[in-house]
Amino acid sequence: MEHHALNCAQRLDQKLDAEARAIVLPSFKEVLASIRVYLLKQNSEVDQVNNIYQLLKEKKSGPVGLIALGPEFDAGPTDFHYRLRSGSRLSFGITLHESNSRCSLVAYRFHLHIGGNKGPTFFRFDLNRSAHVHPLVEPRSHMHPGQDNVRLPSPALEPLEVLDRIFHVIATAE
Amino acid sequence: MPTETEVNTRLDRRERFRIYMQKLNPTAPAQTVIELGLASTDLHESLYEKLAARADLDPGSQQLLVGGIGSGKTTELLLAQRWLNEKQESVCLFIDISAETDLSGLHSGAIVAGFGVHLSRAFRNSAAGKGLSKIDSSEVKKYTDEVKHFAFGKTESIWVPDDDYPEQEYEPDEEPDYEPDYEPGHYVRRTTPGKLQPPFPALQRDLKEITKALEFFISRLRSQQLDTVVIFDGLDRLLTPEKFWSVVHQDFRALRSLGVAVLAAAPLSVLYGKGRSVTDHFDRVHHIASVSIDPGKTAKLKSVLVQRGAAELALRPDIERIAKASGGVLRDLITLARDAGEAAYLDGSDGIKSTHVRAAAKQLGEGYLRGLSAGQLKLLRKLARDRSIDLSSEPAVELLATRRILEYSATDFRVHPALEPLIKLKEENA
Amino acid sequence: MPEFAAQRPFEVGRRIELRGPSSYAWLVVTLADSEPEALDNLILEIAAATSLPFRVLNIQDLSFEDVQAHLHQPDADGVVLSGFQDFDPPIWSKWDVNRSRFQRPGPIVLLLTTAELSRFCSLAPNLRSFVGGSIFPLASSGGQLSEAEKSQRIQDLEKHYGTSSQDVIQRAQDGILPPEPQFVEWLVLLGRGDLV
Repeated sequence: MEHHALNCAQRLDQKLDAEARAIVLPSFKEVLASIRVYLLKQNSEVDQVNNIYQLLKEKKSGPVGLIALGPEFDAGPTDFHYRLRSGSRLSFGITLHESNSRCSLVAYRFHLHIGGNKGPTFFRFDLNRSAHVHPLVEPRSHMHPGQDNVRLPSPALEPLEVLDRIFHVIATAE
Repeated sequence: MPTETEVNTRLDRRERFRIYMQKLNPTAPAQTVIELGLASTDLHESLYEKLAARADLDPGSQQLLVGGIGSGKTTELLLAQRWLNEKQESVCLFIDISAETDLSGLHSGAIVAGFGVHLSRAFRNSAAGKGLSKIDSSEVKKYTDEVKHFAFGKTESIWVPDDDYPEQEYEPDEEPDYEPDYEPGHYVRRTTPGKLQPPFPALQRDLKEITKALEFFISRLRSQQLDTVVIFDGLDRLLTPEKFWSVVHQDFRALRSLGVAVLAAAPLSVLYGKGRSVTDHFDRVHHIASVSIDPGKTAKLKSVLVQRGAAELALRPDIERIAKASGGVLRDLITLARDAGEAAYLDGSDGIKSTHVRAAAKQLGEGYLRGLSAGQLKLLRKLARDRSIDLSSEPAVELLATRRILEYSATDFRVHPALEPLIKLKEENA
Repeated sequence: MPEFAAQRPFEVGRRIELRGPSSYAWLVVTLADSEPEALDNLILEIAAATSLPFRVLNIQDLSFEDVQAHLHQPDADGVVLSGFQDFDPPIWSKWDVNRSRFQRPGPIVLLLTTAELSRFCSLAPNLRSFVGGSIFPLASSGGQLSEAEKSQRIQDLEKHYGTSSQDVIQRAQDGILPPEPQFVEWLVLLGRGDLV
């Protein structure tokens, strides 16, 4: 059974990997601007307490660029998180490879810590840089439903699609 | 997740501010403001009635409306037009001459040309222009074409002999003086520019050649007991009295000879220095001074704001602050109220506070401060200190024209209140 | 010298949005230097805030009549006008005197340098009256990670994984770096995007 499960997980991971590689985004600056604008609108219409210009950061090294908000690891609330009206907090890191004014996804992590007492304490959407040796345990693209050692496969998404799930699905269900 | 109440409260707040912004829009077209019932008809003591009544009673009279930028001249002129139209005893044409042609290149003849185009159109749309006989219709067409050619130019075919005979000009269907078959030559097309087409040629057209066409329309209207009144807006943007006079004097003389009453906006500079000689040519000169902001005298300015809904977001003390900071300039009054509202909204506040009014006044003042020369600053400081100014000097008149100096009466001139504290601060930091 | 209050592009957009779609608004936005990126950010953020389509019109080689035509076809969108570097007093005067011909319901944003702003304020009093206090130096959209922020992140990564940055670089070079996203970010923070 386990061998069968491993084989299935392998095949699924190859599909997830292919899907992730197929995602083509605009230039790094455009992706950064689109994320900034998304958060500005979200903040101005709903959450209203975040200074996006101070929170959203970027760094490039050669053709690879990082877009980050909040700390690398969520160990409690900080002034650098995006704070939702519900009391939840968001941090993320997105790494892109830029070539010829187009970007491909290298990796990302979106960590939403849930305010309130009901349900999972966090959701995290991860896209790893490459496949893991044990794709059943750690698919390349996965979601953590409130536990660090539980990773459920999920399709690789564009950054704004992840934010849509966070703000319009998870946050609205709180 | 926000509750339904929270969402509704947010939407209500946004809607309240949106309504406020729409009513307090300093750049909305004046006609729209009047139609929405937001224009204050007694801000300048119903000046429009005086303008309209004089034009109504005295055909051929010529009046100037003089006021600084943003003082409300267009609104008064439109209200005058409305007053005259309601009486139905005249055909009142409102012409924003800057919409017709390039004001910066305006020359003699253009004003009459614009008038002629509007007049012929108004005639055709009036009762006098309908149900005409064939002969009358052809006359209307003839004179309409003449006006059009005068205004927009025409292209005609001219016979040009091939050798040195003097140039003969005749229409192709006219009988020539001699047999053209024996005269070698050819037709060329010649375009004569009109008065309303930029760039303007140097040629001087005799206004008399168009007067007959205009007389036709005016007399036909008069036969229906309708006088003709024309209101010219936009001429106040010819900032110097010399430019203003060079453009209008021949045209206005022609209009006077036709018995057309004229109301025209004119630059503030005609009231001072060399400009004063211009006003001698007019029957009446009405001056829109800045509205008083002295303590206890701001009721009119405040009522303008309240009429437009300012009390929805601002308390009385802040309405008073806005009135004072405006210096009594109508457009600045509306701008400050709008900007204070904007600041309050972006601040997350439910209403306007004094900090928002101060921020708006500072922004307005910065705009007045920017671009001032050292000489102009010196003049302004002197005025702020001594409350005296020599308006025979061109720099002083320029400061008046650009609203850094405001005139409250013939002897009361002050630095714009939004600008004055910034000049003092600049001096202290120098 | 007192200055205008700086605004981010999105905040300028929010002001325009609040005024409504047919506001006939005029605003001035100034840039300290000509930054093509700043203009791109301005358009993106203003358009997002207003939900209005916005376009840039460089008026440098356009006649007055061309500008008028462009502003009226269409007339309900937002337009950012740039290219005022060659505007001398006669041109400013022509624009000022004929400003009615530019009237349109959609907002107009003039993009000026600080030097051009001074000329505008002194040579175009009618237009300046329309702009009023809506003159905003554009604050940068910012976002570059500072050295301190970078160092803090690297410190947090080293502490969490109990390994040094040198070791991460070595493992990346040996092709045995773990696949978690943080390791890729670590390399970027160290300026070793070449190893990704």
